Amino acid sequence: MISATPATLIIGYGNPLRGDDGVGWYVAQHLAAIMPATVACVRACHQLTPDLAEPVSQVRRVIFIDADAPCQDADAAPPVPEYGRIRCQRVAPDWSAAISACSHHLVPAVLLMYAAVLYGTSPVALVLTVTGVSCAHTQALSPAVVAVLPALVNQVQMLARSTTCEISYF
Amino acid sequence: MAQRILIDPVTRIEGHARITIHLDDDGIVNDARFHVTQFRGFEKLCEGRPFYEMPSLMARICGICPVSHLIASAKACDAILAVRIPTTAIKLRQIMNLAQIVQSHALSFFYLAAPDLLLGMDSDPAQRNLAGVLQSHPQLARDGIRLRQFGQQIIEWLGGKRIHPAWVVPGGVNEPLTASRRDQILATIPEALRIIQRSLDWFKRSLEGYREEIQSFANFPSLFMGMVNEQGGLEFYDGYMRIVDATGAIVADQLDATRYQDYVEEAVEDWTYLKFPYYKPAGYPHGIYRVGPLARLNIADHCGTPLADQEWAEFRSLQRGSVLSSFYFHYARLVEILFGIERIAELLNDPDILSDHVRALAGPNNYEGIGVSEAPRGTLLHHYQIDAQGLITWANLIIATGHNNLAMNRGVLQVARHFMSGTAITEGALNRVEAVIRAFDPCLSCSTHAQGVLPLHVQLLGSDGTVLDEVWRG
Repeated sequence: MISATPATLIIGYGNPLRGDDGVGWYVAQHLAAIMPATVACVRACHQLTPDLAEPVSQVRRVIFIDADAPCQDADAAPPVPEYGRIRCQRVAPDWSAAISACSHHLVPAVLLMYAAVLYGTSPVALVLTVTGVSCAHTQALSPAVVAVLPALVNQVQMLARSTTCEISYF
Repeated sequence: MAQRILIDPVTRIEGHARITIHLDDDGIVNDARFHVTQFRGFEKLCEGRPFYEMPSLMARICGICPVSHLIASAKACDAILAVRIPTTAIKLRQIMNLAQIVQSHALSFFYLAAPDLLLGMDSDPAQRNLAGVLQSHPQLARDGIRLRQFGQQIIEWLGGKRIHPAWVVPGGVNEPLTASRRDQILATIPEALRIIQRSLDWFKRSLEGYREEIQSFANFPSLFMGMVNEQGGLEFYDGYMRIVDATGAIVADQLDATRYQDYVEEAVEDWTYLKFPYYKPAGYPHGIYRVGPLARLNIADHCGTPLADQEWAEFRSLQRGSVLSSFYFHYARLVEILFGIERIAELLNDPDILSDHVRALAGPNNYEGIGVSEAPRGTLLHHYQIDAQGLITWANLIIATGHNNLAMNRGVLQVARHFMSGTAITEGALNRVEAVIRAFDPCLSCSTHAQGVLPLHVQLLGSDGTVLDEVWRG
């Protein structure tokens, strides 16, 4: 139910009570405060849900922001230099993922498929992830993730403001 | 040899549970149990917290129906404050509560039950999921998404966010409604009405195909309990408790909801974490009763809005007396969605809905408070006691799903007896055992539940515990 729909939808998702898992949610909250509504519609969610299929179908481009696993255990992989790494990947609708989907763990590829099946269109989609350090019970992001937030925000803004749907991967 | 069938976990419900079915030496079902395997402990967690934190704290019990806990908890805190909250605040709380009824019922019907209803109880479990519904019935899926959006959007517009809004507070709500927001919500009403009427038409036409499920899904005499308003109409926020029997006769009426301990008692069994409330005068387990959409339509004299009243009359004509089959929970949910949409529009058009006076301020004036409301799944009770500093010393919550515990257990047994024998356990029979639970839409917590390939584990155990056969799915 978006009234004046801009070309880009930004969806940052994660649980802000679980440390770095909430990085997408935090970044979306920040972007919602600073990005003009004419450039992008920004939504902060705890998780992706089927309800988002409609707004996803209404834009030319959707940018997902999420934490990258594994971040459950600070003692486990990835090695220290990987923490806070930002990745950007293009994602396409995936019906096979939809078949095995769990309603509490919807992934962008499935949401895009829902949009395609229900509303006949699926936008160009990018997933920006940040490799987290810990998903422990805390509202604080780890220092490694905090350190890359300015770069992440800049990259999302750059992508949202670009006039083409072509992307540069980083 | 006696055998035991285990369904673990039960899928497409909110929370964690398993079902065991016990067969006798001849392979005949002689018992079945619905085990709730999770423990939350919110009553203990909140001890020592300031009472005014309770609405926000208790809302965390659930991500599907947090507004229900907000409402019941805030009402308990109103009682501790000993204030009469402003009438506009009552109406605004009612709007949010109804919006949640709509979105929660839409989730239950279109997301969780629709795979069974649209694709068939016996269909391939790999297809019998939300993705299958999207593929086979995209219009109905779009309708479900739209109705859920409708309810969630109203909650967000009123409370700032869709899940766990902090807008409902002790003494009222923390912000009045603006004219632009009111108009925004009103603009969404016509489409929501069209969708629910379309859905009702479809479901009523399809009922003929579920004759066997209607006959066997927790279809037995029981009491029904819920809240009605002073006119005997459907009520979700505040009113009297009424109890009717299977014939439709009123067993008890005009009961004070806050005196629930006079007529409801809870039993405990050692094989489940969910307690068993029962109607005290009838004893345990004879005091079995049901709450929720089916019960509410059975106890009410009418709904109170034009379109819902028509649907209620048609619903009640299904059977003389009370409508007994729990399969009709699905039908009742749709009628309540219709009522919710109509009633939201009525409340928004109330002349004082934009009043700035939306909160009564006071300190604690009582050491005890009880809040009762109707949640999507039935009557919800929050009962708190505080000390002189306003800190919680004791809390008791009776969640709607708990009221239905006896009925769900009996329903599982009925379905198992109808569809199962030790010699032939079909996929469709297993699914129906789960589907009868889904009809109640239990909210065991907001925990994960699969909706893709069902993670079903069935074991056939000998009386000595030996695994005779085992099937894994998912």
